[in-house]
Amino acid sequence: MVSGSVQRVELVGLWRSQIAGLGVPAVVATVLIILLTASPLVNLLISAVTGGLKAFSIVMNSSMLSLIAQTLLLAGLATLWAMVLGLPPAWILTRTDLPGRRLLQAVGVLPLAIPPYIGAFTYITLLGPVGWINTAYQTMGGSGPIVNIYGLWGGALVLGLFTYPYILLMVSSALKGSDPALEEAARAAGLGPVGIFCRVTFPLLRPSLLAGALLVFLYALSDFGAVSLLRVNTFTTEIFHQLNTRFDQQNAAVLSAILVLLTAVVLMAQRKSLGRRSFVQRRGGTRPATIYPLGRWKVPALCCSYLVLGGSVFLPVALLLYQIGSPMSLLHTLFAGYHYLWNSLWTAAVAATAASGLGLFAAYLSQRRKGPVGLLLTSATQLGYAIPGTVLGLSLILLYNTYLPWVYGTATMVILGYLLRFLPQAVQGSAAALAQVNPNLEEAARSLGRSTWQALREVTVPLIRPGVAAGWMLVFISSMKELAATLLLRPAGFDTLPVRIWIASIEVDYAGAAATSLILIAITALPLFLISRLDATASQLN
Amino acid sequence: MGNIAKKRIGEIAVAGTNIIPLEQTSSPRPMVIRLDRVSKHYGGDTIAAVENISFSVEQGEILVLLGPSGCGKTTTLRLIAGFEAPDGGRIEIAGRTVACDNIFLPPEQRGVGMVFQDYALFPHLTVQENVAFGLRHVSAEQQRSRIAEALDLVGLSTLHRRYPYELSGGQQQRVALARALAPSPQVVLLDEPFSNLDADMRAQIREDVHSILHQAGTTAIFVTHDQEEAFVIADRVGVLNRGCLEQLDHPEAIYHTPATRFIAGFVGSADFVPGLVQGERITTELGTFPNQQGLSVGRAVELMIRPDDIDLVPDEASEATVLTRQFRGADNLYCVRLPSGRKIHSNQGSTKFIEPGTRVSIQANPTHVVCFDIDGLSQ
Repeated sequence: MVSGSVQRVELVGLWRSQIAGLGVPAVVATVLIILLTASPLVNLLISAVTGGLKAFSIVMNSSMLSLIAQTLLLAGLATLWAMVLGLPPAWILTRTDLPGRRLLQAVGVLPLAIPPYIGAFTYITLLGPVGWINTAYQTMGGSGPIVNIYGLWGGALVLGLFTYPYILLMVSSALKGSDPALEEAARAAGLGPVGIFCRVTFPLLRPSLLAGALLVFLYALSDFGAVSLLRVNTFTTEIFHQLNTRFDQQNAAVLSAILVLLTAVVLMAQRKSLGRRSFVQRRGGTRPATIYPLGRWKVPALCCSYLVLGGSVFLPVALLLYQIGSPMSLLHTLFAGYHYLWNSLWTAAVAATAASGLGLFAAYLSQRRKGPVGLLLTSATQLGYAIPGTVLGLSLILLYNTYLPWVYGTATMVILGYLLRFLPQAVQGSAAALAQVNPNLEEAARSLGRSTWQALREVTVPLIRPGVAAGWMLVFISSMKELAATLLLRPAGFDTLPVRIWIASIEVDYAGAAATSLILIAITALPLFLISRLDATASQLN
Repeated sequence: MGNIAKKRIGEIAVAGTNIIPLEQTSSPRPMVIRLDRVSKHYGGDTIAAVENISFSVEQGEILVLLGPSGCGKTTTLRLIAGFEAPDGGRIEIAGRTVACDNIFLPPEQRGVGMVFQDYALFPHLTVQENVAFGLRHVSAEQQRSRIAEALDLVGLSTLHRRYPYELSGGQQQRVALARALAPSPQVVLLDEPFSNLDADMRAQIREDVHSILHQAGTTAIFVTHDQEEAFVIADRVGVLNRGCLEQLDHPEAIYHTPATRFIAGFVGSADFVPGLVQGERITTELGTFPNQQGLSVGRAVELMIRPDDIDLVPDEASEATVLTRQFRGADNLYCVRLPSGRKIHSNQGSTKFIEPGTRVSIQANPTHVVCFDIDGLSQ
């Protein structure tokens, strides 16, 4: 009937189609990725627990309780402040006839492009003990400082100012997507504008507001740069202190484990709130939401929007520009510190490339071949979200110092840190792009004579390229800005731009810090611009 | 359940006078597709997606697989294309076994063209590049002429430089067809190809596709849930229900002499009235009908009555009453209550009005007497 050799060839075909063309290499790669991403955290938790009695005594220490209280208080205050800053502009910019609201919407997310440690630094130059305000007050004859940015309140002020766009974005998108018929129904039922807002609009916004608030809270828990510059004592600064000045890895590990636990609780709350958010996102046809005329409220609304933007964008940038003094000093910083720039660029580029490759693989496997392996893989790649930079740095140090000491103390550690911390962004970029690609396209290619791999290369890859590129740039930007992990993982003398900014701020070299900050902002703004261009191309293709 | 299903396979038949086993419908034309007791279960599911399906398709024939959603028609198509591997049975394409117990040929080696429900045109390639996608192993010269030929066939020669998103739904549909036809496949498989088109375009495009396929002399298997579409396009129709092929025949036979009660109800509308076999006649409350199949005396059966077969005449003496009238433009659909309380439907001309409440006498004139046993099989 069928000759032996033909049968064997066709059997290989069956085997290939059953595991969908991704055989042993896929399994090996999956195991390696899970090992790479999960082992540092697992090792950290083990070393925290093996401390046993000592760990217990650390936890029960009274200063620990105040540390927890301080950290949660900071995060809570920052979240409240971000809500105050983000909620009114969200409504004003989406639902009123405010002049220039499109431009303001675009500018409103700019604070996300300014790392909070740069924001903290600019506010120190303004409100610090020897900042402008105090100096001006003293020259006018006052005695002692009248404002002091250092401490809990200053920390919350700065963190809220530079994270409120999370809330602005979440709430705006919910406001844009909400069904206008709901508000019309409320109006038909006899409610006025205030009644509609309180009884219909706001309750529908609550899930998005909560989701945005949790993002801010998570960020505040994990921040190291701004908090350390503003001299607030939180988990991240305490971990850094234990590790860098007291060289007590055991203490640092226990602190990190508790911080991871806190973060995990918030993440679970976030997952729950995102799950419930779905009912708001249902669009009511193609009709846009009702736009309210502002009338005599126009001027207050404009003032409110510009005050928020002023405090978070215009003022910091103006302060940075002023601190530099002259363009010559910017050029001087650029030439004198070109190797910081180079260190930042190449580590971020290598990390972004590695993350994009792994992210594409993980996203493809979990999306096209659904199953427990895919699920495990995506969860493993998402771990970076749960780990603050300080904790990630510590866990990598603990792991590699013990098991791979020849990697420890090289730039590879820095790249590994970026890779693990920002892999979720690359996975999401690839996953979003893959979700846009109709799986029928691959089948169409197969029916036109292409193998699994050929279909992937000729159809899927060209279509997802913009999404993968966007993911690459997101990882690149985040890596360029990462401070805490870099501080812990860098080899001696390996400075990057954020490390330079942080050190210069501490050493009160304000001109140097400002120039380096402007370079960093300029470099990270360019890829952001490119991403928005890529999005336009991608939406045209699909 | 399983037993009944297996029994049906042997009984795939034209109901009524002649019962022809499948194997004897052979003609001089060669078979392009042959499925032999093909089954497919999805992981963990106890109900089969496809159960013991057997059929063959001749060179140049257009076969339509018709059935409700979830009946296994798309799975059958994917099994032929090679996107799924069968759990049992054998699939042959042009005399070559492409799937059986220890053989599985991947889709790219089967020589099968596929037109997807959503067309699946490559969005990053132009019309011309889409059509060229399956023409890798031919010379550039030949490639050009084959592309021109395929685009000419579907009437899109002037649009070859456009991208898919610049085309209308109907144009995309035709590009998908041209792309599938260009490599001259053994068979073209079309998965609900018209369901994404607007209703007013559908009839026209259906006709175009039909004539394109005939012109190209291509063997084709369509999948659809729309019986009208099936009847217009098909040389033969196979009706699937719960993974089983219940009847495979010409469209006329499917409509007039359905093999199972399911088909009678699914294809066109029908009422069923109980009857009793009494020698040469079958008596029902609508009157007596000839016992054409020679059923044994005393059997209880159900007679299929199509609304077209019922005539209504106003008659004060009758006990049947008109309940409702639905004016549908080209005709009127009446619902009539019989003395027993049973309801029956009748199609009358566009201008024949009878007020609800009117007593009518009923005349049933079925062209074929189709009756079913209690288990739903045709007798």
